[in-house]
Amino acid sequence: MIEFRNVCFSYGDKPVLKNLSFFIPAGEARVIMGQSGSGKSTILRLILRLASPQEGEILIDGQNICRAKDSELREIRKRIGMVFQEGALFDSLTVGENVGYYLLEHSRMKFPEIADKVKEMLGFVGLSEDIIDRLPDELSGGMQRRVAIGRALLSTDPKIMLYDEPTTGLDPKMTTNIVNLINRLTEVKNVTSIIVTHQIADAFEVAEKFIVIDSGESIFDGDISQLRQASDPRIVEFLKPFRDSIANVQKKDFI
Amino acid sequence: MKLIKILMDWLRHFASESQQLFFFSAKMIASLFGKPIYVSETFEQMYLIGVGSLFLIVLTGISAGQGMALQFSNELADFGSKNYLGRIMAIAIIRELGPVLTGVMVAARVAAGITAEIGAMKSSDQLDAMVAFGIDPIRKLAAPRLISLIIMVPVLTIICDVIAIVGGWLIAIFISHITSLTYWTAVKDRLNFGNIFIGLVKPFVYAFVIGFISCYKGFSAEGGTKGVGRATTESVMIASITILIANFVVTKVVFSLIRGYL
Repeated sequence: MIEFRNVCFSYGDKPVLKNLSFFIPAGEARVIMGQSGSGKSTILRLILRLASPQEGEILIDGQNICRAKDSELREIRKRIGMVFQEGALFDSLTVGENVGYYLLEHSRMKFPEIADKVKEMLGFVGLSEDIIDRLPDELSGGMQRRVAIGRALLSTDPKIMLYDEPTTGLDPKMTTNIVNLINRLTEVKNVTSIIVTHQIADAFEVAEKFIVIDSGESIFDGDISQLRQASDPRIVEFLKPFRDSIANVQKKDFI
Repeated sequence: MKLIKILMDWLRHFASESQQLFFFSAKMIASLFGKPIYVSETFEQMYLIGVGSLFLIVLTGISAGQGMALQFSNELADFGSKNYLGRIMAIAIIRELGPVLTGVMVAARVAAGITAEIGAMKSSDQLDAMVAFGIDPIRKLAAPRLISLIIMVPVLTIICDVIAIVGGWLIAIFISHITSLTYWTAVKDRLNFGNIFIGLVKPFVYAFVIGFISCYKGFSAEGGTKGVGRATTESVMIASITILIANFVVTKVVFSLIRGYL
């Protein structure tokens, strides 16, 4: 489980998160929505302790990571998989080296064993073995995103998955593939997932509960029915362009 | 008032950058010790820095050596001292020109490459991805580059020295009409411990300067491709200027330490 308690974070003088609190139980998926620059991606960076909050506490499975030592952080990070915005694949390494990166760096497994695991993982994320020797630049955006998911999964067998804008910039078919993959991971592997996105239509496909961030503050934390009834003008304003998407979810719920 | 404010802002920025560079350099030094050691990355960097810079260094050495020999031989001829050309070439090149030219050339070529590569990795979140996978990016990226520079900059300096002195010899025999024996005897006369020591301490210092500044600028690059471009320019500029300043400081310090051996 993941818990934020009154977390404040700023870049220099610019406040990014203000007294942010939320709780995500183990095995649950939660979408964090909000406009660009509202502090969504910062939340993921804080969970990985790539940045440290100025105030507040962040608990991963009950452990306060803000006070964790480097050795403890390494252990915590082993339980977390992260799919970065745009994938963040190592562009000088092949697809195979990217997916098997963690094993190549940290395990004593022999190369053929790693290669077998990489092929297996490529199959799991719906990619062909043929791309194993290609460089990330030679892949489409959707394929890169799936390689990034495969890399995160093979690296640490994570209990928590963090996705930073996983469907941004993808065509509808690729978006569906990624959404299906995220759902499969949450259900089959029972991982706790946090999906940061401003693609509202996709958000309703991957989780039942949502957090809406506005200017670093949490202005909503609940499910779709609560979201429909929310009267906060900031939420209404944010969701105005997506009335159709919300209506479709209503219909689906009703059916 | 406005001028004072600009000056104060610049001083504050300079102090802050210097402090951050100092702490980053300390982390780089610490990353040289302990495990894991990235051996293959280090050899790859040694190849890229050493072999990759060889042509540039040979070209620099031969041009500088011949240019200097021409200038010196003309001046020495006025005093009837052309036979001393080898001595002057050895001192000027081994003590000063070889190390400085090599340092500045490596700074221009390698520092730009290091900063651009690490900066691009940072702007595409690859450094964060490394941390997320439990890998220390300083140990993985900066340490192999620093070790490679520490080994290859002195090697390149020796090559530059030799090529420059050979360039001087070509001018000595074909233009100044000094015999080979006279030239090489004069060169050999100045190849003493003091000159060789000062000529090898300098590239060692420059390797640290280039490594610290180029890696720091790469790791601290911000603002996407524009920011990486700016960091790369600053990296080359700061490394080159620091090498020139360090040249004076090292010369002064080493002179006071080994004056008797020069």
